[in-house]
Amino acid sequence: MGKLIARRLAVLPVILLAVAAMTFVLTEISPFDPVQAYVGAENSVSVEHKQEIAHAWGFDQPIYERFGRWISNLAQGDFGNSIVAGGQPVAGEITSRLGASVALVAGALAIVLIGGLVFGVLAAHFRGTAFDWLVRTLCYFNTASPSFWVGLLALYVFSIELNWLPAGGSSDARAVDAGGIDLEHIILPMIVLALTQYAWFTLFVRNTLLEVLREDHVQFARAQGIGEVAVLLRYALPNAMIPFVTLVGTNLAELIGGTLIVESIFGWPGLGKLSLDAALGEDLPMLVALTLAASGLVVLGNLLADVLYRVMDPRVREATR
Amino acid sequence: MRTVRFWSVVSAALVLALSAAGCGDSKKEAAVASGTLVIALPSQPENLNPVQGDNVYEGNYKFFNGLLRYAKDLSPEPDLASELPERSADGKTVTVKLRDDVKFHDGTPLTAKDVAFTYESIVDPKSASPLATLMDSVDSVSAPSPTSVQFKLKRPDPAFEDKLQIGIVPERLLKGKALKTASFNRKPVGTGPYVLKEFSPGSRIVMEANARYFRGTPKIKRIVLTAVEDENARVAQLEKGSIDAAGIVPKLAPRARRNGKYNVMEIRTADARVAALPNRDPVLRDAAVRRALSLAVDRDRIVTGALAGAGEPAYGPVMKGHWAYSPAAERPYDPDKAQSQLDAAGWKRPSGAGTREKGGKKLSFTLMYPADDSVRKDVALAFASDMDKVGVDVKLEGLSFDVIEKRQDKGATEFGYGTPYDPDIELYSLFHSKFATADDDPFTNYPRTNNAAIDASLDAERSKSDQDARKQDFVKLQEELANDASWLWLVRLRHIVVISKRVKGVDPQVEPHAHGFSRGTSWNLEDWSLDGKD
Repeated sequence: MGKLIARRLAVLPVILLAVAAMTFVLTEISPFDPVQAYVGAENSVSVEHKQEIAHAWGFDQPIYERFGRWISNLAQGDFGNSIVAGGQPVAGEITSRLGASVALVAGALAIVLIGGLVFGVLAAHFRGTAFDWLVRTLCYFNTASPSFWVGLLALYVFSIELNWLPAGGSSDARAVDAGGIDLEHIILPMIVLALTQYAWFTLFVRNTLLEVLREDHVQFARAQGIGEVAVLLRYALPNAMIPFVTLVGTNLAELIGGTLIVESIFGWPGLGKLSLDAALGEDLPMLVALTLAASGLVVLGNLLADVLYRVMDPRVREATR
Repeated sequence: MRTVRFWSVVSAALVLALSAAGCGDSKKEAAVASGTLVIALPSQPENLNPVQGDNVYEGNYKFFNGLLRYAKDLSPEPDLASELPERSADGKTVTVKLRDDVKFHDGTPLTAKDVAFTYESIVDPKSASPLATLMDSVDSVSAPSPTSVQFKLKRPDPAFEDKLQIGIVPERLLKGKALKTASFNRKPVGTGPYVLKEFSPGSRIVMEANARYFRGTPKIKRIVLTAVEDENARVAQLEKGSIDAAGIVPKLAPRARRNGKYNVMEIRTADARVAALPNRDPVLRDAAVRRALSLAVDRDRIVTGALAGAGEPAYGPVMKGHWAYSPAAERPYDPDKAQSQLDAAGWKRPSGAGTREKGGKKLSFTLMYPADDSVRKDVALAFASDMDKVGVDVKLEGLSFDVIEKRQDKGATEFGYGTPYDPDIELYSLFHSKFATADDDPFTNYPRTNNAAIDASLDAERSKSDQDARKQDFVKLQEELANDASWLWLVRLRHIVVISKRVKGVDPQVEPHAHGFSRGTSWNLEDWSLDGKD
């Protein structure tokens, strides 16, 4: 196991470097103009001054020079300065917004896992009934609905029309203390983010359970006279869950990607909104840093999943010992 | 054994996830500050340093003062200056005397050196300031005494007083620093009525009354600026009472009025919606066609329809009531005349109906607008239906400005422009042929207007300082613009501002198109009070 972790961690810098280079190339070939993003639309700035602005920020340098400078700055722990953050250091801006995104993603993950397990198990237990049918239909409906639509609909129904929940932001603007996250404010974005992953996970739990229930060792347990609920929870579910652990890694990556849309809809002050602002503002230092952070998280998430997989499945544990 | 291990892993993961999600919940019962005014902006300002401001109208956010400011009637009046500036006979030397009782938020006194530093920083290429173009008339700035600043100009810039309104920053905190990356940009220290208390990125900006403000401490002690991007969400938050003031779109005004807790104000503005008709477009290149299109626009109907009454017709770049306005340049709605002019230009309707054609080519073009702006979309729709009535086919495309600028010469674009201040600030770079050539410069002279008569009147008004003499040039300019018609003015908006009835003392100025916190409705924010309390 230690060898596995060491090997994966050794590859991590290589992956991150490749991701960084790729981000540089992608922004370079994108048709958007960072100077125009900087001065804003419908704003008269002469061509000469635009060239000065490009020079001051280094937009006019060739891509390999900018990449080289970025690497050497990074070696000294400097991620550069962000344009969309008023010229402030990238690292500081990311740290100050990290908490909001972590809370959102963690909450959504909890909803996906708990909700998916509960409804997946129930649907499997009541397979073929109206309840099973309802769960499945809602899941198919959910899978077919894009998250920006679900988000806008939720905002419209629960905030704007019914006025039950706040329409955006992470806390009461009148609060004395800074940086709080109110439960009332996080509910809607968290649920909408969870809904991006909830359906397939529920269906996955249900279908895998049904397969496992047909296997010999489960039949054997039944034959011993153990009750159906106990069979389901103690014998079938743990076996059905082994592939699921790997999927949590993917799940996490999808949830992080989902924050881009969800945070923008709900004005959530996290990294998803920041990523979108950075992309629209052609803010390369911020974009690269956020892409790296996301890639790092995905790699580590997958590593964690693999480790858990070994912890939970004795066969794999034996094989990799 | 295996079962136990499985459930312990799952429950550990859940506990971890739930505790992370719940980490902020403890603040649920957090104290709410009394005497707070919450204002919702469409987006959070990235940078609070006036030297880094996007345009001359923004950037003070009540943290700073300029040398001058606009009075309620938009006449310049002294702010940090002790009296109005003096100009030399040739108009190229401007001397400003400063008040001697002004202190920055950190207690240090304001001196002429701070003023000189501010203006030098704007023109310094290293600052990457978008305001540099605006300051192109400045040759040098000096501080002959602690209370006197002298500007040497390259030309007798008649609009220079308008440029003396940029917030003054303290030299002591910024000298020798790279301004574009200074931490000052989010920790501003100015002389203004409010002091920054908190800048939470993506969330809110909190400011508190400046106890040593030279005009006396503002009445409202604490102001929170929050960002609410969605126009419907802004109204919902007003109804819920989580914000006290916001700008909203006209079609939501009735909903805000029904609520009863708010004053819903229609603020007169210079903010025009104008279709730029590019001179290199295969159809729009003919001035006769462009003039006919202008006659075919039923501007009154756009006001009553798309703007729900919150606006007025616009025929040119200067707003009605402005000293430079020329009623002679108005081109009233006349669809019959438009039809006959299009016929005369060779664009005939094949069977008396349908889209006009000339030599097998259809009289058809695209009108682009920024997709996220619902008011612009409604104006564009109304425009297209007016065009359809005279046999002109207009295809609408909602895009981002990044895409629009790439298509500069292909089809029309709906822009928003307009200033109620000195027209020279905006009009020179919009219409002068000097700005018509470059391909990487879409927001100066977008339709590539290239008209010697327009250039001549712009150059003439710029060379004089006497307002009556300049007015004659502006009258000429408006007439020539109406004849050239590569800018097709449609309407001027009224901005709908909703403010809680608890707030007293609101007395709006006429607003420009792009305005920040030191202009328009909030120009006298420091004089507002809550429930009439001092």
